[in-house]
Amino acid sequence: MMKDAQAGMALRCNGIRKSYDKRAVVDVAELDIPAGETLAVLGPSGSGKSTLLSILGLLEPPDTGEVYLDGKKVTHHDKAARMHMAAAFQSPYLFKGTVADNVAYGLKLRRMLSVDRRSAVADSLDRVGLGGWEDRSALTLSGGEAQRVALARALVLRPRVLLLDEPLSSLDPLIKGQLAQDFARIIREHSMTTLYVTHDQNEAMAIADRMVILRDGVPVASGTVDEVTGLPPDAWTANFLGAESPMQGSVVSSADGLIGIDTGGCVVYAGGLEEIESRLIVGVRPEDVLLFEADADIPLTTARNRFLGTVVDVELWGVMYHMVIDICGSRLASRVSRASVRDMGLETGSKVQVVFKASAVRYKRI
Amino acid sequence: MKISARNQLRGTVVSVKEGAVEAQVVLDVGGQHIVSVVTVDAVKELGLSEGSPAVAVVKADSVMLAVD
Repeated sequence: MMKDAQAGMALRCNGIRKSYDKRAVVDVAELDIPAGETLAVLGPSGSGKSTLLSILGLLEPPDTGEVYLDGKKVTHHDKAARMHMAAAFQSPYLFKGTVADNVAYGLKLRRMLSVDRRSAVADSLDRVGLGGWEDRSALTLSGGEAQRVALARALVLRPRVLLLDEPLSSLDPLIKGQLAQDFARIIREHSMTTLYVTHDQNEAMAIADRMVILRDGVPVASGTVDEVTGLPPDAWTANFLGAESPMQGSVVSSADGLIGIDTGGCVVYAGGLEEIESRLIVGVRPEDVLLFEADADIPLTTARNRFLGTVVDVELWGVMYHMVIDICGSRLASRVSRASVRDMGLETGSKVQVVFKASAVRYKRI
Repeated sequence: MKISARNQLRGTVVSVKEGAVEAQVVLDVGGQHIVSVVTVDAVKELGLSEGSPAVAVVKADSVMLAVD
């Protein structure tokens, strides 16, 4: 599909603060979404993410701070700026009438000619996989179909900034997964700058380029999806993401692009250049952690890390097991297939050898 | 030896390209090539060079599938 002639606009804010009843709900020093990128804002209920979306979407003013669209300062009074934006919310807010009536609503407000409206609505419904659904009654749609219509209603305005506030959170998991993939494809195809608010990290991982995590209105982690989920900066963020807390350690060796990090009894090897005694937080993606039987005579491998550990937690997450292994007092997770768990007889208390490559280790200075 | 990785592919090293820190090792497995990026340190320790036998170990959730 061709990209829209009008691609996304860069969205940025500085020093945004907002309070309700003297309680600060948003306190964001800086946030930047480059043109055409998708930023997911994650956080638990009440973390201020929807308020932040409203402020960045010029739907309500902050108490202090500025919003910039393509470098130009804009406010909620700026109608021209608001015309570049469109939104979809958790509740699709469809009114009685046909699907076409609902999708065309914003175009009517913008006084588009009827003949042009029809073709724009048809095109927009095509984009969301509902081509030919114009005459259906909007109130008979399933939850997933209604959200597709809500997205079509936003897309028909050809926005340069798309705001999505938990659009999938009321749907069942199967529909949600499919729709998240579809939303990601549609957003990428049209190069819109997108702000996606959710409390579901799987949705964020499917859709976003970058993510920021809010706790009590304040960003506690930000970066690419891989950076944030691969190495949550602290125990709270790790817990929110369902990950293990990062290990902490000091660099004890550094040679030929390989550093050794003492995490309290175990030396973990990672690719990189850091000075001796640098303090780091360290994480390993569960997908990259291999388990061997405790007494296996492991031949030489290219993996630089090999430890003896004890399984301390076993949980079934979807089709794979999430196993937590204690190595030298630190908790390390491994994603393991059901077949492997069965073959190896893994359970809480099992001793295992834990093996992972240096390139699987993420670290950050503290 | 039991191991949590579902895939263990036996093959022969057909090339080793060393960079400053990492090396790219290509393994021939039954006529197909599989590429691994490892540390130069690991290449030395395992003595990998053209003709060396080696096993590629790949976790099931690292395998991406596509259709023609």
